Amino acid sequence: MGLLPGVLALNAVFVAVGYALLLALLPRGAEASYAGVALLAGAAATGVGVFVAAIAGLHVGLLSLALVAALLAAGGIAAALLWGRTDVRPHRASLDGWGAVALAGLVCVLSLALVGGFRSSPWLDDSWGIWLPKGLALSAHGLDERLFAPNGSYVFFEVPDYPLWWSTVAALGVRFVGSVDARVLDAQLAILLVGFAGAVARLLWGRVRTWVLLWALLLVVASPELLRETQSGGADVPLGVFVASFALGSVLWLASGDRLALVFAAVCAAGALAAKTEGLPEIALLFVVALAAGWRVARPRLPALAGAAAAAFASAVPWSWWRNAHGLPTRLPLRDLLDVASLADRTDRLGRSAPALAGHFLDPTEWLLLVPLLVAASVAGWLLTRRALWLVPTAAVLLGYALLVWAYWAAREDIDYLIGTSAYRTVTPFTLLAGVLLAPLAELLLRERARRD
Amino acid sequence: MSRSAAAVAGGLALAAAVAALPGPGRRLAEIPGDGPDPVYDVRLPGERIREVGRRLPDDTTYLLRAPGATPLVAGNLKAAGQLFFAPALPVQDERLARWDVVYRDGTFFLLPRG
Repeated sequence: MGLLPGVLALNAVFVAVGYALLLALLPRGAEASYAGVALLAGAAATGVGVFVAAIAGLHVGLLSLALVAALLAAGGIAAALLWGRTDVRPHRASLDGWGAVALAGLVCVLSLALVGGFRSSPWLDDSWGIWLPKGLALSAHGLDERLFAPNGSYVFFEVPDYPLWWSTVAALGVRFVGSVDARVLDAQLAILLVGFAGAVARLLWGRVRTWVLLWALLLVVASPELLRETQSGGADVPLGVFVASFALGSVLWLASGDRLALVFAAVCAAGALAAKTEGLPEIALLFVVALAAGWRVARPRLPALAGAAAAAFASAVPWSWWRNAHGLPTRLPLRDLLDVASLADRTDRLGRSAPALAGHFLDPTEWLLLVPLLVAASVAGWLLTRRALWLVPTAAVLLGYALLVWAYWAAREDIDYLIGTSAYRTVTPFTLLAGVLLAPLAELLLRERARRD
Repeated sequence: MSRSAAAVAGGLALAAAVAALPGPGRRLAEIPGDGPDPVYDVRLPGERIREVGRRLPDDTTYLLRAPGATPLVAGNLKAAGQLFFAPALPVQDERLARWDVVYRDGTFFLLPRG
């Protein structure tokens, strides 16, 4: 098909699956505005489904894609037929002048990123050295233990414990394109970035005044590090997109009972769990934060959130089973994370990783001012109201930071090497989290101030 | 024209203008663009790698050897093989290999075994 039509066709399948999955919950008359939501949901669900099909013995390819897409779409359409379409009205708002300026900026940055995605070959060697070769092997041989489990006979892949959503999506991209083209990875990342911006804008549209929403979103997508990583070919951007989307969906469910946001959160959590190993502790952490925050203000909605998280975690069980069945070594075992004596012997690693990670979180040349602005809005809200709930977004980002520091502390690899080769990208889920929570927090702050005036 | 449509049109026009000028916008749009090969860490003959991949039978095994190569070159060659020699399987145990793929002084040699 060629690069452009091939990647677009694959994403058309993702969008179609996403729409079908969410059909029962899509507000009538506003379906087109949910394209970004449908894309992320479809990409996450289809990728996870084809990955699970590979664990079950199928090769990653057009047949497994057709099978999974048909099953997911049929499930979504059946749900819509069974329970009917929602009668919830879409949130609407008109674009104000400053919002229009920000929208022009967003369109500018995203279109450049999209063009660049289709024209760039990934700069991160993991992308063409690990992710894409694994995908091609899944396509040619399925999840073959000769290649995916350590052995002395065949050349097996590095980091065998990593889940394979990104490799699966990459392999599907190559099948649609028709030849091995490394640009498939960056093109897919650019499309996911556009989908992410569209999804966040749609989910917050009408809940946050448009200029606040679009300027905050512009701050996210114009972050130099995000744009750089979008051309890396790695799985860090999808992981970040899914983690941040899970958090946003959970917040919207707890705050307003938006069922579409809940399903979106569940599907994105499944995507995060299948994107990288970090997805599991990161989703678990944000789920616990959401439970704690919702305990006092939205307790009746917690069981459904727990159900959504449980469904997402259930989707990770097949890979966990395959890993255990084949004795795949984990890069950072739980026993290392909890080995107090070993951690106490290596506290020097804390002194290296904590400032380095903090630097990546706060460096304005990487993520502009996403984290400082979130903290400022959070603290300002707390100072105004003295309600601890305002501090939850900051707590979530700080806990994410602590989780990363802990992981770097417990890891066995040389700390300088580890920080130098990964710290700039492992912060991505939490900086994106700060980015998506910035607009709703700023909106609440403005409302609080107006109420007091 | 609605305000939204005007903003989108303005954004696209701005993107076109920024991409035409030297600077970060042009770099973001990757002008000039890359080819389909990976950006290897070392200089490797991309077209020759693809040719070896075309010549290797699908249903076979190969042993990749690069005598004298640095670990970086060897690592890049291994990944290139996994990308372009698939579905042929790379082996560590040479008894399983039906082909030798030898890389020496920038040239590939494809040698059947036995």
